[in-house]
Amino acid sequence: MTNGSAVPDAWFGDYLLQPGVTAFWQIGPMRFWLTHGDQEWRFASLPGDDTLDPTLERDLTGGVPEPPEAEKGASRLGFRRTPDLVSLTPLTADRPMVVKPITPFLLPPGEELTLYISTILWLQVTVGEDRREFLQIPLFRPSDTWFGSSTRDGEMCYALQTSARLRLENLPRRPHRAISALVVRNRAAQNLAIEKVLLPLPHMSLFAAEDGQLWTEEVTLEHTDGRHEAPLDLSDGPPAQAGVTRRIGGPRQRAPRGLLTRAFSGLMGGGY
Amino acid sequence: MFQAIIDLGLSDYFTQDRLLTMARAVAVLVVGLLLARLVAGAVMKVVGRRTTQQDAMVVRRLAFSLVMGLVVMAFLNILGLDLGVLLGAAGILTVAVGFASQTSASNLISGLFLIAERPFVVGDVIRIGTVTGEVLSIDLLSIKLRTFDNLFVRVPNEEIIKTQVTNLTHFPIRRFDMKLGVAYKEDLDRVKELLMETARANPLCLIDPEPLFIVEGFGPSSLDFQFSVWAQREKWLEMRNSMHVEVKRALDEAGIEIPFPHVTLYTGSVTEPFPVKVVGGPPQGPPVGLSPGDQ
Repeated sequence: MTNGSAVPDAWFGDYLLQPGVTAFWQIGPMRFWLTHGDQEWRFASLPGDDTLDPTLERDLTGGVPEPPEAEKGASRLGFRRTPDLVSLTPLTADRPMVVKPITPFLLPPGEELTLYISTILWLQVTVGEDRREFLQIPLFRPSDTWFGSSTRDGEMCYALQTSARLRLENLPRRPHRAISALVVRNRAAQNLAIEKVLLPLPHMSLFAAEDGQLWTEEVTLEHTDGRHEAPLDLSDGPPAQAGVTRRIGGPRQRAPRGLLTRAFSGLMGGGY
Repeated sequence: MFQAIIDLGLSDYFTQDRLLTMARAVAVLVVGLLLARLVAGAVMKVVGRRTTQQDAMVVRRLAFSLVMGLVVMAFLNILGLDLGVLLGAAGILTVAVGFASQTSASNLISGLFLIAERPFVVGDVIRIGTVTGEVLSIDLLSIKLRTFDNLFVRVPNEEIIKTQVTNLTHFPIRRFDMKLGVAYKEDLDRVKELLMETARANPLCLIDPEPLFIVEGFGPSSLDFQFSVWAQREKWLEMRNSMHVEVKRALDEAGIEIPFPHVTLYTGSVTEPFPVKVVGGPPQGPPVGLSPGDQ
């Protein structure tokens, strides 16, 4: 039984499980069990309800048996000859995420600062050398929300409340979340009220730092006069504070330039 | 003898040439039918990539009808029928048939309007009167629905043009209005906060647009209000069910009473007992009284 991740202490990576063994992980609020059966892989999970849970536990020896209540979230993948290799991969959310600061945040004209936001990750389980996908599941199910100018025009997103921390060291590290640095520049003559920000997570990649922390690209948002929306720019990687990182997953969807522009119109403020 | 005459007559009519002509005509019809199907399928494939399922279906039918029209003309031509005479006769026939088939004509024209107006498309879920179902096809005379208990319903187009049609899947998000009432003794601010918290905890309830809490008034047995929450169109039913269960649980856990209708019999005076007379029993003394507290 090994963790094939290049990052020590990270939950993601490759694992070799012998037949008959049930391995257990708790990544934040999500607890799950992976069983290598005779001709199948079995996944069972118990999602938690505390999105701030920082727990990271792993038992690859079968010491944490699967409880009966996990049966509800169970699924099986059948094989003629079951491979021993199972891989856990973090993914960004499958929809954009609307991030709302818990306390309304204002930025005076000419100012620029960086907000640190942590967003919820998805877990992808693949089996075998050829990485056949078993399932994808959110490590915490965020609430649905609608982002648009009216109930007719817009798109389905996930909602996330954030403390919008200004210092990275104040942001608690949680294994089920990736950190995004959001640089906001106010080039307008009035205060900029940051009410909600749409993070295009399906178009973003994941990077692993040396300490196992996951990051997305840095996002820059520049507000100018006379516009309610702000163009958003994705950099090539995480900010320098992340240290040395390596890309561990590409974006779910490629973002053509035109699509990005459309997706970010009506980025800030408003509501209905 | 009779049999012989018939045999003689038929064999005179079905000469070798005639039979060959008829065989050719039938072959043209069969090949034409196959060709029409092939053309319609190919057109649907090409158009289907760029348009909606409904538009592709209409174009497919048009292509099929066009090819089949030509095939039928070729068929009649091979059989030796004069198409000019036939079209003239068709004109007279149209007038006669028109009078006889007013309903069908009305449905046909309504169908054209429906296709042009597009109040719904194939795959939408609509409600017409008491019928709710998924639109399977929009044809020239009628639309076909599949209800959720898997019944096939045909609704004439004329009826759809005349009556109110509700499209349940036109917009991507949908609101659910939960009608509720709590006992008069309850604090409505507390109830509102509890319901808002329940909606926030349910991932299927949209955070934006925010849930609405509308007090509807003082009902006969309860303080009535409406709690409206939004959900993605596809998750609406799941959200509605889960919200009913979770709201009931949250109110029960908080000790908030959902009252059922009460009827209080009152004799008109606070202190006077309610007179009761027992009929058919053994001889009684004066009527027995119930105090208001016993009611």
